[in-house]
Amino acid sequence: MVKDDYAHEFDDFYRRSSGRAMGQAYAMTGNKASAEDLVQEAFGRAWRRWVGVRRLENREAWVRRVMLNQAISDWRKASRPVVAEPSTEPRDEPDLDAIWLAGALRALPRNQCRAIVLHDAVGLTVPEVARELHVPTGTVKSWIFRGHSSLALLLADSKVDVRDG
Amino acid sequence: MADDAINELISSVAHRGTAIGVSTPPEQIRHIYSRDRWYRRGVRHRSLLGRRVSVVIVAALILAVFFAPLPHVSLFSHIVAPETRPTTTAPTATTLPAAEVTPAAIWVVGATTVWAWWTSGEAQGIERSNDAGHSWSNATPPELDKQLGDHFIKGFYALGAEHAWVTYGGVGSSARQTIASSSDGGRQWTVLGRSPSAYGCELQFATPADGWCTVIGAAAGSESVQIYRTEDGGRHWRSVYNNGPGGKTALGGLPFGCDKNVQFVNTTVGWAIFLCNGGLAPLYETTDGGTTWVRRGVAAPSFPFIDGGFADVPDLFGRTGAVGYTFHVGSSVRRSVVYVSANAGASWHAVAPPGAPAGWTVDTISPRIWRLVSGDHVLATDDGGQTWRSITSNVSLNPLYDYVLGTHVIDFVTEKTGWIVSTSSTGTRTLWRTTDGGSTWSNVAVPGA
Repeated sequence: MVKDDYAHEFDDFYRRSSGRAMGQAYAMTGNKASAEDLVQEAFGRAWRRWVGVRRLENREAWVRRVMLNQAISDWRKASRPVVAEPSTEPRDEPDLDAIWLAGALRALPRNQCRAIVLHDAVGLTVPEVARELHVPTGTVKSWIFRGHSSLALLLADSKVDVRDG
Repeated sequence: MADDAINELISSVAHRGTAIGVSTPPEQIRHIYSRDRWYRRGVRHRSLLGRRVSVVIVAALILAVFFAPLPHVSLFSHIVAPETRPTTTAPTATTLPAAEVTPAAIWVVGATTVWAWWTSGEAQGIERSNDAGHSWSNATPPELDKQLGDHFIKGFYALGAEHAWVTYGGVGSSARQTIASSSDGGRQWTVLGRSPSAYGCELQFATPADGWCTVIGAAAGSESVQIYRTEDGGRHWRSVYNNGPGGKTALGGLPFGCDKNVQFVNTTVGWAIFLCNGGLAPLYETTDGGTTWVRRGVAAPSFPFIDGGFADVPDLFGRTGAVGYTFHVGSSVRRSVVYVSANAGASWHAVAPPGAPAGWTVDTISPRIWRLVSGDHVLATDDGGQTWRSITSNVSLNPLYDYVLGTHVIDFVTEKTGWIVSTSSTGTRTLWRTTDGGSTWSNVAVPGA
């Protein structure tokens, strides 16, 4: 396959799947700019490895995994909480749900976060999440159950904080 | 907030993100991330090399923090005083778990002995069979029958029918892990101490005393390697190898790039097998227990290919050796060969099986006796590929090929007796056994399957 064919193939893959990737990224970051950065980084890596990535049966899963790992890695490095970004479009209201969610997700154990993002944000079934994370379905169920329980508390707390503040 | 409400909240946020969409066109992504322009990336996109360095630095810092509170402990010396507790006894009742259970791993260790590690919801367990799967004994450490708190079994290794090790701890990948071992087939377990790595590690043992704890770094497409060595069955560990970005050029080191897997075949000899992003995967050997590594010569095959990787570590006996290798030769098209050596592993060249190119799963019983499986066919040779015979099986099997991930899916323990872990399209794993060289395969009931 010549280089131009690879480019066309990649562009097609990007156009078809970047929207869904943005959904996952937005749920994890809570704001548009960070989400775009995450998506861009993941697809950029896919392009750099396109010879290998293109032959994968599930290229989107590869991108999802890169985004998950990258977001979690970034969370570990950054200590500041998720805040509404300075908007270049003043008419836009900050998406409080997205900000709350991103802040709560980063407080979860990594595997619970991965499972919940893939299951709830991406919309994969439990067996699909299990295959992507290479763990048994029972483990995924356990992670989701515990993650939801923690999220319920975290989200309740953060919403109370915001209201009180 | 109820489960459904949480699910709905996350789903609606994700939908809003999808609706926002991306503003960067694909051409711009390709331009920014073009292989020969990576150094031109903007401020918001650090180089991959930078990221890899960061990964190693972060890992080193975490390791340093992990070991800091321990007195007289150094990253590069003997480490970790074991936390001992009285030897405990596992329940002896044999209870096969109900449905909805998944085998996490199946370990074949002989013609009739096999271990299974399974999970089901909060339950988890280890079982062992000494009669080819006709009956199973519970070998679960007594306090580890539930996936709760810091009792998640994260790793398992079996050496023969009697010796086994588990690592367990919290579910977070950075949660500290504890190592326990059994020397009586899982009836009694003893806690040995903490894993030498804060990240946990992959255990392997060549003898009940000699083992390694290998940490493969997490960066996609390139991986650091830390290797710890024990000579007392896992109580004490010392660091014998720790590469990083500089390992690429260090004499006697492993390259930092590429996905890789490290396995030891005896107390001194080990192999590092690779999967790189394009091109021929390298092969490294250590003869001093993992401290120094030497690259071995792997000749490219005569046909064009994209990339590929070794199926396992080489079988080397004297001066002759063999190991399976599968190439990607097109989109979703694979072609397997057997690499052979006649000079004690110093150099390797490909021997292609007869017939149309195909993605066989290769198992080398010895340097000259090989079995290749694909669907309902077995290709067999007992003379190093000079003569072959084709065997049609009673079932079609799909031994998932996993390159360098170390998943053992096929194991002929003799010319006639072999095991295969077959994977369905939905990910369900089943265990099969043959005693006639591959003509007839019988399904083996596995706990959790």
